[in-house]
Amino acid sequence: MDVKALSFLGIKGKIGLIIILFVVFIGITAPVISPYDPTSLFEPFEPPSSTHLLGTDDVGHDVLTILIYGARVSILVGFATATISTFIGLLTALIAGCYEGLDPIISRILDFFLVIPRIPFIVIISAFLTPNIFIVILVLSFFGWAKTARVIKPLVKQVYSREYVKRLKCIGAGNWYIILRHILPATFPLAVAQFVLEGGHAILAEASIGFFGLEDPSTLSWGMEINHALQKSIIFLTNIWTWVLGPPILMLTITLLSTTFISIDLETRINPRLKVRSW
Amino acid sequence: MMRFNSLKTPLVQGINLTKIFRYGLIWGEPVEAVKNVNINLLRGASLSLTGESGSGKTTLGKILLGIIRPTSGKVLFNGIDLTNPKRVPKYIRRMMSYIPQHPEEAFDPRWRLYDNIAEPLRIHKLIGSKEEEKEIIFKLAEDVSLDTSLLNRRPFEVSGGEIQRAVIASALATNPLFMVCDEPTSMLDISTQADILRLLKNIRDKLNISLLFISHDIEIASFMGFKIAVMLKGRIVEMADVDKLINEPLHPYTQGLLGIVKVEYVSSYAKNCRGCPYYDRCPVKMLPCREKEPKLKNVGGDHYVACFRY
Ligand SMILES: Nc1ncnc2c1ncn2[C@@H]1O[C@H](COP(=O)(O)OP(=O)(O)OP(=O)(O)O)[C@@H](O)[C@H]1O
Ligand SMILES: [Mg+2]
Repeated sequence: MDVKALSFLGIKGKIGLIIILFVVFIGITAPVISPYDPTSLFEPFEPPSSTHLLGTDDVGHDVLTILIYGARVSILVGFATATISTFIGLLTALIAGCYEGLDPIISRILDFFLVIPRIPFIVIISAFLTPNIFIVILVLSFFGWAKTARVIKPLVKQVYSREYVKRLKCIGAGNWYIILRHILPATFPLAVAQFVLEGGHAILAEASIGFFGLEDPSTLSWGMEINHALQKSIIFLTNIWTWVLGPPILMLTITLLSTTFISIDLETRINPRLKVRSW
Repeated sequence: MMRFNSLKTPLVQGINLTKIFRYGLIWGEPVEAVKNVNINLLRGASLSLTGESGSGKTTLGKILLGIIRPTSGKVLFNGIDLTNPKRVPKYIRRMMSYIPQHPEEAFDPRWRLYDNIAEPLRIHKLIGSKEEEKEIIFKLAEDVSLDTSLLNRRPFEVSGGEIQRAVIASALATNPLFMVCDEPTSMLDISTQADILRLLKNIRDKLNISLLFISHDIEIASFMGFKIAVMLKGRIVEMADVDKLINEPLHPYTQGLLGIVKVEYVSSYAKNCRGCPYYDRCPVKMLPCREKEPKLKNVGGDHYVACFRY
C-alpha cells in the first residue's frame, strides 16, 4: 500500500531485479557486445571453442550472438506488452472502481477476456498470421490487459471507499481529481508488480510462439532458436544439444524466474495476506 | 467567500429523511438506519446528536452532508437539494466540512499532514502562492494548537489527539458554514477530550459555524451546550435545549442515558418493530406503545419528545 514498497525489495526481489537488469543490458547493447553479426554464418554444429564461445547451431549461426540478440526480442516484447496492458488495465480498473454504474458492464467485458485461454489462442492466431514481433506485442496486449484490470480493480474499490475519499468528495473534490491524486498513487505498487508479471507472461508467450515456429522466420528469438534446435533430432544423438538447446532454455528460464521473483516480492509487500505463503 | 444574510431560512434542512440499508438479496433483513427524521439548522445554530451505538447518528450526519443518499426524503443546503449530487455546485461544497468518526481515516496516509490540511484549499484553488499557503496552514495549525513541527509527518506518525487537531484544522481551511463533527473525542483520553471539546466550542463561537456535533455520550454532547437531539433506532425521540434536556428529560430512553432510571436489560431486541422503538426496554411502557409508534411532538418551549405519556 505504499510507494516505499518499491524501494526496499526483499532478497528475492533484488536477485530478480539484478538478473532482469542484466538481461536488459545485454538486449540494449547487443550490437556492441555480441561477437559476430547475427546474420553471419559459420560451420554448423561446431562445439564451443575460443572462436565460438557457445558453439554454432544447425545453420551455422554463432549461438552466443543469437542468444544476445534473443534477449533483445524478449525484452522488447515483455516491456512493450507490459506497458500497453498495464496502461489499459490500470485505466480500466480505475474507471470500473470509481464509477459504480460502469462496473457491471466492465466486469462482463473482463470476464469475456479472462475466460479465453491465452497462449493456445495466440498460437492459433499466429498460425494464420505468421506475425512479426509487433503483431505479437499487439496480440499479447490485447489478451493481457484484462488480468491486470481484474487484479487492480479491488484495490481501487477499497481505496475509493475509504473515509478520506468520502470526505474529499463531500467538500468538493471531483472524481478525476481523487483518482489522479489519491487512487493512482495507492495502486501504483500493485501496478508495478502486475507490470513485471505481465512482462514475464509476454516473454513466455512470445517464446511459445517461436517454439512452435509460428513467428516471422527472420526473428532472432530464444523461442525460435529452441524450435530450430528441436527440428534436428540429430542433436540428441551426441552432446550437441547441450550448446544449441541448453543456453536459450536457460536464458528463458532465468528471465522468467526473475520476473516472477520480483512480482511475488512486490505482491507480498503490498498485500499482507500473502505474507504467510512461504516462497 | 459567499455568505448568506438571511438568518431566518434554515442553512441545512433535512426533510423526512429515511435511510434503509439492505444486505444481499435473500438473507439480509433491511436496517432502518435513519427513519423519518426532520432537522432544521439555522445559519449559525448548532446541534448535538446523541444516542446509543448503532442508532444512526453517523448515517444521519452523512446524509446531511450529501455523502449518503437517503432512501427517501430531501436535504436542502441553503435551498439546494443535496440528494442529487450531480446538481450540487462546487461552491456549495466549499461551505461544508466533515470530521469523520475515525480521524486517522480522514487523511490520505501517503500525504504529509501539511498537504492533507491544505488539500481543501487546493481543491477550491483558494490560494495564490506557496508562501501564502504556508502562511494559512501555519495559522490554522496555530488555531488548533497543533505543533507546526508535526506538519511534515504522515498521519500514522502522530498521536490520536494530534491527528484530531490536524483534521479540525483541515476542516476549517475553507471557512465552512456547516461542519459535521462525528465523535471527535471517542478515541482520546479524558484530558485531551476536554481540550478538543473546548477547541471546537471556541471555534464555533468565534467563526459562528453551524456545527452538527455527534457523540454517543450524552454528557459530552451536553458539554457543548447546543440543542440536543437524542436518537434511537434511527428516530429522533427527544430534542430540546441542553438545560431542559439534562434537567428534565422526558423520554424514558433519555432518562436511561442520563442514568436517572434503571433500564431493563434485554439480551436482544427486534431491529424493526411496529410500535415504539423503545418498547422492549422501556420501564414505563403502556399498552398502545406496542402497536403504535409515537410521533415527535412539541410539549411546550421547543421541547420535542416522541412518547405517549406526554
Ligand atoms: N454502509 C452501511 N451499510 C449497511 N449498514 C450500515 C452502513 N452504515 C451503517 N449501517 C447500519 O446502520 C445503523 C446505524 O449506523 P450508524 O453508523 O449510523 O450508527 P451510529 O449511531 O453512528 O453508531 P456509533 O455510535 O457506533 O458510531 C447500524 O445498524 C449499522 O449497522
Ligand atoms: Mg457513528
